[in-house]
Amino acid sequence: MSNKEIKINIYNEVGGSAAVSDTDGQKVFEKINKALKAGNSVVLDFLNIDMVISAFLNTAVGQLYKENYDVEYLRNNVKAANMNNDDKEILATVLKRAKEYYQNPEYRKNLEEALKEELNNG
Amino acid sequence: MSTIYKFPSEIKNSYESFNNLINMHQLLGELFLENVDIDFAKTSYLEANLSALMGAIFDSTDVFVNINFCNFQPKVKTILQKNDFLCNYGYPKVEDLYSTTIKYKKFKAIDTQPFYQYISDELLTKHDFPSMSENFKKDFAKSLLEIFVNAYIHANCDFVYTCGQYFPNKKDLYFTIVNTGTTIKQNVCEYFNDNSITGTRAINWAVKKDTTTKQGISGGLGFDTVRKFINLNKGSLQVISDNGYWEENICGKITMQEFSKSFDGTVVNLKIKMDDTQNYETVDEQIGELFF
Repeated sequence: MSNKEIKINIYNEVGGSAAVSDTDGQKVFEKINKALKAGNSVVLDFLNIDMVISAFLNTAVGQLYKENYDVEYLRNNVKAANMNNDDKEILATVLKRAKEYYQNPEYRKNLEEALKEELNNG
Repeated sequence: MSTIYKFPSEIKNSYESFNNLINMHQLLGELFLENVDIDFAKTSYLEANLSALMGAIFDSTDVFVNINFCNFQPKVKTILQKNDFLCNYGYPKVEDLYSTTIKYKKFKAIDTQPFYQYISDELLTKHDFPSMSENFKKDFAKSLLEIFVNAYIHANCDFVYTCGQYFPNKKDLYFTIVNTGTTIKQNVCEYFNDNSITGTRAINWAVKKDTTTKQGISGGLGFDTVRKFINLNKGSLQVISDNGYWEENICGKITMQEFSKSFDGTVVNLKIKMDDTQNYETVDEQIGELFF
Protein backbone atom coordinates (compact mmCIF):
# COMPACT_ATOMS: atom_id res chain seq x y z
CA MET A 1 0.00 0.00 0.00
CA SER A 2 1.40 3.41 -0.96
CA ASN A 3 0.37 6.57 0.79
CA LYS A 4 0.78 9.35 -1.72
CA GLU A 5 -1.41 12.28 -2.62
CA ILE A 6 -2.47 11.76 -6.24
CA LYS A 7 -3.51 14.85 -8.15
CA ILE A 8 -6.06 14.30 -10.92
CA ASN A 9 -6.09 17.18 -13.36
CA ILE A 10 -9.72 17.41 -14.51
CA TYR A 11 -8.90 19.69 -17.46
CA ASN A 12 -6.57 17.01 -18.81
CA GLU A 13 -9.05 14.19 -18.15
CA VAL A 14 -11.97 15.83 -19.96
CA GLY A 15 -9.88 17.44 -22.72
CA GLY A 16 -11.22 20.97 -22.25
CA SER A 17 -12.67 23.51 -19.87
CA ALA A 18 -16.11 21.85 -19.48
CA ALA A 19 -16.49 18.88 -17.13
CA VAL A 20 -19.89 17.79 -18.36
CA SER A 21 -20.13 14.29 -19.83
CA ASP A 22 -20.90 11.17 -17.84
CA THR A 23 -18.32 9.25 -19.90
CA ASP A 24 -15.55 11.61 -18.76
CA GLY A 25 -16.96 11.33 -15.24
CA GLN A 26 -16.63 7.55 -15.43
CA LYS A 27 -12.95 7.84 -16.42
CA VAL A 28 -12.29 10.14 -13.47
CA PHE A 29 -14.21 7.86 -11.09
CA GLU A 30 -12.08 4.87 -12.14
CA LYS A 31 -8.89 6.85 -11.48
CA ILE A 32 -10.05 8.02 -8.05
CA ASN A 33 -11.19 4.53 -7.11
CA LYS A 34 -7.92 2.94 -8.23
CA ALA A 35 -5.88 5.50 -6.28
CA LEU A 36 -7.94 5.04 -3.11
CA LYS A 37 -7.84 1.25 -3.35
CA ALA A 38 -4.04 1.47 -3.48
CA GLY A 39 -4.10 3.45 -0.22
CA ASN A 40 -3.53 6.92 -1.68
CA SER A 41 -5.41 10.13 -1.18
CA VAL A 42 -6.71 12.15 -4.14
CA VAL A 43 -6.92 15.81 -5.03
CA LEU A 44 -9.26 16.66 -7.88
CA ASP A 45 -7.80 19.78 -9.43
CA PHE A 46 -10.40 21.87 -11.29
CA LEU A 47 -7.87 24.47 -12.46
CA ASN A 48 -8.91 25.93 -15.87
CA ILE A 49 -12.32 24.26 -15.63
CA ASP A 50 -15.06 26.86 -15.99
CA MET A 51 -18.10 24.61 -16.33
CA VAL A 52 -19.19 21.62 -14.23
CA ILE A 53 -22.60 19.93 -14.43
CA SER A 54 -24.36 17.21 -12.46
CA ALA A 55 -24.06 14.55 -15.20
CA PHE A 56 -20.26 14.62 -14.81
CA LEU A 57 -20.26 14.71 -11.02
CA ASN A 58 -22.83 11.88 -10.67
CA THR A 59 -20.41 9.45 -12.27
CA ALA A 60 -17.07 11.02 -11.24
CA VAL A 61 -17.68 11.32 -7.50
CA GLY A 62 -21.29 10.32 -6.74
CA GLN A 63 -20.41 6.69 -7.45
CA LEU A 64 -17.78 6.66 -4.69
CA TYR A 65 -20.67 6.11 -2.27
CA LYS A 66 -21.44 2.90 -4.12
CA GLU A 67 -18.07 1.54 -3.02
CA ASN A 68 -17.62 0.51 0.58
CA TYR A 69 -15.76 3.61 1.69
CA ASP A 70 -16.45 5.11 5.04
CA VAL A 71 -17.73 8.69 4.68
CA GLU A 72 -15.06 9.93 7.08
CA TYR A 73 -12.41 8.16 4.98
CA LEU A 74 -13.66 9.89 1.83
CA ARG A 75 -13.75 13.25 3.59
CA ASN A 76 -10.10 12.84 4.59
CA ASN A 77 -8.84 11.36 1.35
CA VAL A 78 -10.69 13.04 -1.50
CA LYS A 79 -10.34 16.79 -1.84
CA ALA A 80 -11.25 19.29 -4.52
CA ALA A 81 -8.97 22.17 -5.44
CA ASN A 82 -9.57 25.27 -7.55
CA MET A 83 -13.32 24.74 -7.72
CA ASN A 84 -15.66 27.73 -8.09
CA ASN A 85 -18.26 28.32 -5.40
CA ASP A 86 -21.25 27.72 -7.67
CA ASP A 87 -19.70 24.46 -8.88
CA LYS A 88 -19.23 23.48 -5.23
CA GLU A 89 -22.95 24.03 -4.79
CA ILE A 90 -23.71 21.47 -7.53
CA LEU A 91 -21.14 19.14 -6.01
CA ALA A 92 -22.86 19.41 -2.63
CA THR A 93 -26.26 18.60 -4.21
CA VAL A 94 -24.84 15.64 -6.14
CA LEU A 95 -23.04 14.23 -3.10
CA LYS A 96 -26.07 14.60 -0.84
CA ARG A 97 -28.23 12.81 -3.39
CA ALA A 98 -25.64 10.07 -4.06
CA LYS A 99 -25.08 9.41 -0.35
CA GLU A 100 -28.79 8.87 0.19
CA TYR A 101 -29.18 6.86 -3.00
CA TYR A 102 -26.32 4.42 -2.48
CA GLN A 103 -26.09 4.17 1.30
CA ASN A 104 -29.67 4.32 2.46
CA PRO A 105 -31.78 1.41 1.13
CA GLU A 106 -34.84 2.84 2.84
CA TYR A 107 -34.39 6.14 0.96
CA ARG A 108 -34.05 4.28 -2.31
CA LYS A 109 -37.18 2.23 -1.65
CA ASN A 110 -39.15 5.35 -0.67
CA LEU A 111 -37.82 7.18 -3.73
CA GLU A 112 -38.93 4.36 -6.06
CA GLU A 113 -42.40 4.44 -4.51
CA ALA A 114 -42.56 8.23 -4.65
CA LEU A 115 -41.54 8.21 -8.31
CA LYS A 116 -44.25 5.70 -9.14
CA GLU A 117 -46.77 7.83 -7.28
CA GLU A 118 -45.57 10.94 -9.14
CA LEU A 119 -46.29 9.13 -12.38
CA ASN A 120 -49.75 8.05 -11.30
CA ASN A 121 -50.62 11.53 -10.02
CA GLY A 122 -49.53 12.97 -13.37
CA MET B 1 -41.21 9.05 -58.05
CA SER B 2 -41.63 12.62 -56.93
CA THR B 3 -43.61 14.11 -54.04
CA ILE B 4 -44.38 17.72 -53.15
CA TYR B 5 -44.78 18.68 -49.50
CA LYS B 6 -46.32 22.08 -48.96
CA PHE B 7 -44.60 23.66 -45.96
CA PRO B 8 -46.97 25.47 -43.51
CA SER B 9 -47.62 29.20 -43.89
CA GLU B 10 -45.91 29.97 -40.61
CA ILE B 11 -43.63 28.09 -38.26
CA LYS B 12 -43.64 29.37 -34.70
CA ASN B 13 -42.58 28.06 -31.30
CA SER B 14 -46.11 26.77 -30.71
CA TYR B 15 -47.95 23.46 -30.30
CA GLU B 16 -49.58 23.95 -33.72
CA SER B 17 -46.26 24.37 -35.52
CA PHE B 18 -44.68 21.42 -33.71
CA ASN B 19 -47.74 19.40 -34.72
CA ASN B 20 -47.24 20.43 -38.38
CA LEU B 21 -43.56 19.51 -38.31
CA ILE B 22 -44.27 16.14 -36.66
CA ASN B 23 -46.85 15.40 -39.37
CA MET B 24 -44.20 16.21 -41.98
CA HIS B 25 -41.73 13.94 -40.10
CA GLN B 26 -44.17 11.02 -40.27
CA LEU B 27 -45.02 11.65 -43.90
CA LEU B 28 -41.37 11.82 -44.98
CA GLY B 29 -40.61 8.74 -42.88
CA GLU B 30 -42.96 6.67 -45.01
CA LEU B 31 -41.16 7.51 -48.25
CA PHE B 32 -38.53 5.41 -49.98
CA LEU B 33 -36.60 6.06 -53.17
CA GLU B 34 -38.26 9.38 -53.95
CA ASN B 35 -37.52 12.98 -54.78
CA VAL B 36 -39.30 15.27 -52.34
CA ASP B 37 -39.81 18.95 -53.05
CA ILE B 38 -40.42 20.89 -49.86
CA ASP B 39 -42.47 23.79 -51.19
CA PHE B 40 -42.04 26.98 -49.14
CA ALA B 41 -44.30 29.14 -51.38
CA LYS B 42 -46.88 29.73 -48.62
CA THR B 43 -44.31 30.11 -45.83
CA SER B 44 -44.05 33.78 -44.94
CA TYR B 45 -42.90 33.51 -41.33
CA LEU B 46 -40.47 31.08 -39.76
CA GLU B 47 -38.95 31.22 -36.28
CA ALA B 48 -35.52 30.06 -37.29
CA ASN B 49 -34.46 28.28 -34.08
CA LEU B 50 -36.77 25.51 -35.31
CA SER B 51 -34.18 24.79 -38.02
CA ALA B 52 -32.82 22.34 -35.42
CA LEU B 53 -36.02 20.30 -35.68
CA MET B 54 -36.21 20.68 -39.46
CA GLY B 55 -32.62 19.41 -39.78
CA ALA B 56 -33.32 16.42 -37.55
CA ILE B 57 -36.46 15.58 -39.57
CA PHE B 58 -34.78 15.86 -42.98
CA ASP B 59 -31.81 13.80 -41.73
CA SER B 60 -34.07 11.03 -40.48
CA THR B 61 -35.52 10.30 -43.92
CA ASP B 62 -34.41 7.21 -45.81
CA VAL B 63 -31.02 7.46 -47.50
CA PHE B 64 -32.69 7.12 -50.94
CA VAL B 65 -35.08 10.02 -50.32
CA ASN B 66 -33.74 13.12 -52.04
CA ILE B 67 -34.90 16.35 -50.35
CA ASN B 68 -35.07 19.59 -52.34
CA PHE B 69 -36.39 22.99 -51.31
CA CYS B 70 -38.30 25.28 -53.65
CA ASN B 71 -40.24 28.56 -53.92
CA PHE B 72 -38.73 30.30 -50.92
CA GLN B 73 -40.00 33.75 -50.01
CA PRO B 74 -36.85 35.94 -49.76
CA LYS B 75 -37.15 36.69 -46.02
CA VAL B 76 -37.41 33.01 -45.13
CA LYS B 77 -34.59 31.98 -47.43
CA THR B 78 -32.30 34.69 -46.08
CA ILE B 79 -32.79 33.79 -42.41
CA LEU B 80 -32.10 30.11 -43.21
CA GLN B 81 -28.93 31.14 -45.04
CA LYS B 82 -27.86 33.47 -42.23
CA ASN B 83 -28.12 30.70 -39.64
CA ASP B 84 -26.20 28.25 -41.88
CA PHE B 85 -29.14 25.83 -42.19
CA LEU B 86 -29.34 26.01 -45.97
CA CYS B 87 -25.59 25.69 -46.47
CA ASN B 88 -26.08 22.01 -45.55
CA TYR B 89 -28.29 21.74 -48.65
CA GLY B 90 -26.11 23.43 -51.26
CA TYR B 91 -27.01 27.09 -50.69
CA PRO B 92 -24.36 29.79 -50.09
CA LYS B 93 -24.00 31.39 -46.65
CA VAL B 94 -25.29 34.92 -46.02
CA GLU B 95 -23.60 37.12 -43.42
CA ASP B 96 -25.72 37.89 -40.36
CA LEU B 97 -24.93 41.59 -39.98
CA TYR B 98 -27.21 42.20 -36.99
CA SER B 99 -26.18 38.99 -35.29
CA THR B 100 -29.67 37.78 -34.42
CA THR B 101 -29.16 34.16 -35.49
CA ILE B 102 -27.53 31.42 -33.49
CA LYS B 103 -26.06 29.06 -36.05
CA TYR B 104 -27.68 25.73 -36.90
CA LYS B 105 -25.30 22.93 -35.94
CA LYS B 106 -25.31 19.17 -36.00
CA PHE B 107 -23.09 17.66 -33.31
CA LYS B 108 -22.05 14.11 -32.58
CA ALA B 109 -23.76 13.33 -29.28
CA ILE B 110 -20.38 12.74 -27.60
CA ASP B 111 -19.03 16.15 -28.69
CA THR B 112 -19.56 17.94 -25.40
CA GLN B 113 -16.44 20.14 -25.61
CA PRO B 114 -17.25 21.41 -29.16
CA PHE B 115 -20.83 22.10 -28.02
CA TYR B 116 -19.53 24.14 -25.07
CA GLN B 117 -17.24 26.03 -27.46
CA TYR B 118 -20.24 26.71 -29.74
CA ILE B 119 -22.29 28.07 -26.82
CA SER B 120 -19.38 30.29 -25.82
CA ASP B 121 -18.74 31.58 -29.35
CA GLU B 122 -22.28 31.74 -30.73
CA LEU B 123 -24.27 32.76 -27.69
CA LEU B 124 -22.45 34.15 -24.71
CA THR B 125 -20.48 36.80 -26.55
CA LYS B 126 -23.35 38.05 -28.78
CA HIS B 127 -27.05 39.00 -28.78
CA ASP B 128 -26.99 41.30 -25.70
CA PHE B 129 -25.28 38.56 -23.68
CA PRO B 130 -22.23 40.74 -23.02
CA SER B 131 -24.40 42.98 -20.83
CA MET B 132 -25.71 40.04 -18.79
CA SER B 133 -24.02 39.02 -15.55
CA GLU B 134 -21.41 36.27 -15.57
CA ASN B 135 -23.59 34.16 -13.28
CA PHE B 136 -26.55 34.45 -15.65
CA LYS B 137 -24.40 33.35 -18.58
CA LYS B 138 -22.98 30.45 -16.62
CA ASP B 139 -26.39 29.23 -15.42
CA PHE B 140 -27.75 29.42 -18.95
CA ALA B 141 -24.78 27.52 -20.40
CA LYS B 142 -25.13 24.93 -17.64
CA SER B 143 -28.78 24.37 -18.56
CA LEU B 144 -27.95 23.85 -22.23
CA LEU B 145 -25.16 21.41 -21.37
CA GLU B 146 -27.44 19.39 -19.09
CA ILE B 147 -29.89 18.98 -21.99
CA PHE B 148 -27.14 18.18 -24.50
CA VAL B 149 -25.56 15.52 -22.26
CA ASN B 150 -28.99 14.01 -21.52
CA ALA B 151 -29.36 13.24 -25.22
CA TYR B 152 -26.35 10.94 -25.08
CA ILE B 153 -27.14 9.42 -21.67
CA HIS B 154 -30.86 8.79 -22.16
CA ALA B 155 -31.62 8.92 -25.89
CA ASN B 156 -28.62 6.88 -26.98
CA CYS B 157 -28.52 8.91 -30.19
CA ASP B 158 -25.70 9.59 -32.65
CA PHE B 159 -26.39 13.26 -33.34
CA VAL B 160 -27.78 16.31 -31.60
CA TYR B 161 -29.17 19.25 -33.60
CA THR B 162 -29.14 22.78 -32.21
CA CYS B 163 -30.15 26.24 -33.36
CA GLY B 164 -31.28 29.52 -31.85
CA GLN B 165 -32.82 32.85 -32.74
CA TYR B 166 -32.77 36.19 -30.95
CA PHE B 167 -35.70 38.61 -31.25
CA PRO B 168 -34.16 41.94 -30.13
CA ASN B 169 -37.46 43.87 -30.01
CA LYS B 170 -39.06 41.48 -27.56
CA LYS B 171 -35.72 40.60 -25.93
CA ASP B 172 -36.62 36.93 -26.35
CA LEU B 173 -33.99 34.36 -27.19
CA TYR B 174 -35.06 30.89 -28.31
CA PHE B 175 -32.72 27.94 -28.29
CA THR B 176 -33.64 24.45 -29.50
CA ILE B 177 -31.89 21.13 -28.89
CA VAL B 178 -33.14 18.05 -30.76
CA ASN B 179 -32.18 14.40 -30.82
CA THR B 180 -33.61 11.51 -32.81
CA GLY B 181 -32.91 8.78 -30.26
CA THR B 182 -34.97 6.84 -27.73
CA THR B 183 -37.94 8.94 -26.65
CA ILE B 184 -38.78 9.88 -23.06
CA LYS B 185 -41.95 7.79 -23.32
CA GLN B 186 -39.96 4.72 -24.41
CA ASN B 187 -37.51 5.14 -21.51
CA VAL B 188 -40.22 5.71 -18.90
CA CYS B 189 -42.39 2.82 -20.18
CA GLU B 190 -39.39 0.52 -20.01
CA TYR B 191 -38.38 1.76 -16.55
CA PHE B 192 -41.85 1.09 -15.11
CA ASN B 193 -42.48 -1.90 -17.38
CA ASP B 194 -45.78 -0.30 -18.34
CA ASN B 195 -46.60 0.43 -21.98
CA SER B 196 -49.78 2.32 -21.13
CA ILE B 197 -47.88 5.44 -20.01
CA THR B 198 -48.66 8.30 -22.39
CA GLY B 199 -46.12 10.65 -23.95
CA THR B 200 -47.21 13.63 -21.86
CA ARG B 201 -47.27 11.72 -18.56
CA ALA B 202 -43.79 10.40 -19.31
CA ILE B 203 -42.42 13.92 -19.95
CA ASN B 204 -44.19 15.33 -16.91
CA TRP B 205 -42.50 12.66 -14.80
CA ALA B 206 -39.07 13.04 -16.38
CA VAL B 207 -38.83 16.80 -15.81
CA LYS B 208 -39.34 16.47 -12.04
CA LYS B 209 -36.44 16.56 -9.59
CA ASP B 210 -34.81 13.22 -8.70
CA THR B 211 -36.49 11.29 -11.51
CA THR B 212 -34.18 9.31 -13.75
CA THR B 213 -34.62 6.19 -15.86
CA LYS B 214 -30.92 5.40 -15.61
CA GLN B 215 -30.58 2.27 -13.48
CA GLY B 216 -28.01 1.84 -10.74
CA ILE B 217 -26.69 5.38 -10.63
CA SER B 218 -27.89 8.46 -8.81
CA GLY B 219 -29.08 11.34 -10.94
CA GLY B 220 -32.23 13.23 -11.83
CA LEU B 221 -30.83 16.72 -11.39
CA GLY B 222 -30.45 17.80 -15.04
CA PHE B 223 -33.97 18.99 -15.87
CA ASP B 224 -34.27 20.47 -12.38
CA THR B 225 -31.26 22.72 -13.12
CA VAL B 226 -32.89 23.85 -16.38
CA ARG B 227 -36.32 24.51 -14.82
CA LYS B 228 -34.87 26.47 -11.90
CA PHE B 229 -33.03 28.72 -14.34
CA ILE B 230 -36.05 29.18 -16.61
CA ASN B 231 -38.38 29.91 -13.67
CA LEU B 232 -36.01 32.51 -12.24
CA ASN B 233 -35.58 34.11 -15.66
CA LYS B 234 -39.35 34.10 -16.32
CA GLY B 235 -38.68 32.29 -19.56
CA SER B 236 -40.48 29.22 -20.81
CA LEU B 237 -39.68 25.62 -21.60
CA GLN B 238 -41.23 23.24 -24.15
CA VAL B 239 -40.48 19.53 -24.33
CA ILE B 240 -41.72 17.42 -27.24
CA SER B 241 -41.04 13.70 -27.23
CA ASP B 242 -42.89 10.85 -28.91
CA ASN B 243 -46.54 11.98 -29.01
CA GLY B 244 -46.21 14.23 -25.96
CA TYR B 245 -46.13 18.03 -25.70
CA TRP B 246 -45.24 19.62 -22.37
CA GLU B 247 -44.84 23.33 -21.71
CA GLU B 248 -44.02 25.43 -18.65
CA ASN B 249 -44.75 29.11 -19.19
CA ILE B 250 -43.52 32.30 -17.54
CA CYS B 251 -45.88 31.88 -14.59
CA GLY B 252 -44.78 28.29 -13.98
CA LYS B 253 -48.07 27.03 -15.43
CA ILE B 254 -47.76 23.62 -17.06
CA THR B 255 -49.66 22.73 -20.23
CA MET B 256 -49.74 19.21 -21.64
CA GLN B 257 -51.18 18.03 -24.93
CA GLU B 258 -50.84 14.98 -27.12
CA PHE B 259 -50.04 14.94 -30.82
CA SER B 260 -51.95 12.62 -33.11
CA LYS B 261 -48.62 11.43 -34.55
CA SER B 262 -45.24 10.89 -32.89
CA PHE B 263 -41.81 12.43 -33.14
CA ASP B 264 -39.12 9.75 -32.97
CA GLY B 265 -36.90 11.72 -30.65
CA THR B 266 -36.98 14.64 -28.24
CA VAL B 267 -37.07 18.41 -28.70
CA VAL B 268 -36.19 20.73 -25.83
CA ASN B 269 -37.02 24.35 -26.60
CA LEU B 270 -36.08 27.20 -24.26
CA LYS B 271 -37.25 30.80 -24.32
CA ILE B 272 -34.95 33.11 -22.39
CA LYS B 273 -35.76 36.69 -21.41
CA MET B 274 -32.74 38.85 -22.19
CA ASP B 275 -34.00 41.91 -20.29
CA ASP B 276 -33.44 40.06 -17.04
CA THR B 277 -31.55 42.14 -14.48
CA GLN B 278 -31.77 39.73 -11.55
CA ASN B 279 -28.82 38.69 -9.49
CA TYR B 280 -27.84 35.10 -10.26
CA GLU B 281 -25.24 35.06 -7.47
CA THR B 282 -24.73 31.65 -5.91
CA VAL B 283 -25.88 31.52 -2.32
CA ASP B 284 -22.99 30.21 -0.28
CA GLU B 285 -24.62 27.55 1.86
CA GLN B 286 -21.60 26.65 3.93
CA ILE B 287 -20.27 24.56 1.13
CA GLY B 288 -16.62 25.24 1.85
CA GLU B 289 -16.20 22.19 4.07
CA LEU B 290 -18.72 19.97 2.41
CA PHE B 291 -16.65 17.76 0.15
CA PHE B 292 -17.99 14.29 1.11
